[in-house]
Amino acid sequence: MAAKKKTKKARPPERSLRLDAVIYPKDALMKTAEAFAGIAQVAFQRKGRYWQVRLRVLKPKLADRVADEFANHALAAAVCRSIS
Amino acid sequence: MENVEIDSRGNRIGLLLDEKIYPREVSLAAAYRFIDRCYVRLERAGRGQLLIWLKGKRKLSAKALEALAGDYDNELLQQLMRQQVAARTTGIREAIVGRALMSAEPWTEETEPNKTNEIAELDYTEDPLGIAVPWEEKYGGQEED
Repeated sequence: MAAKKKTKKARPPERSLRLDAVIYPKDALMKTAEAFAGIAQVAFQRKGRYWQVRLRVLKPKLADRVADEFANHALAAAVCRSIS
Repeated sequence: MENVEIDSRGNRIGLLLDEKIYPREVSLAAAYRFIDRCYVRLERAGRGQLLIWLKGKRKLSAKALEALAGDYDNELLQQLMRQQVAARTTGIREAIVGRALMSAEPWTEETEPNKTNEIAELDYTEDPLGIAVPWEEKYGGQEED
């Protein structure tokens, strides 16, 4: 009997963003990460004056768009935070 | 006033703003207004400057990118004006809202204004003008012309 070939599941494409930590506060990023939970796996860490955001987008076709939309959402969250 | 960089290949424009002229909250508010048609990024560019990148969600021509920069400038001015008006009218807005909230509260014995004698004598059951009298009672069986 032929050995079954193990099919490796392709890892979702990764995109990274660099966002200014003063303009995009941590809780704005947290809110955004929460909103994108079903769309991408999100990890971020502080690197100097920036947040390094890593996104593993679950739908590969949308990878670039999701990264850009993530930045927009983070901006909206930052603005809402500044006026509340 | 500002430096504009048009990057047609990247389908985006970069604007460098002086935060002394346009405070950060004004730039943020203006940027917020563009997130429906652009992907927006902001970052500090040092020495009190803010760099804003607007990338079209659709492919934009060089002319459209230039127009986008102009639209952003207009929005900046609008937000700046809004901020100045808001700062100038803070006191009066607070007074109006405070007054509205106060007057919406039910009267207590302490807060109820003193009734004048004239008002106190009025009775809702009295009908000096005969308004509550039915038509038939007032005019009998007369028909209208």
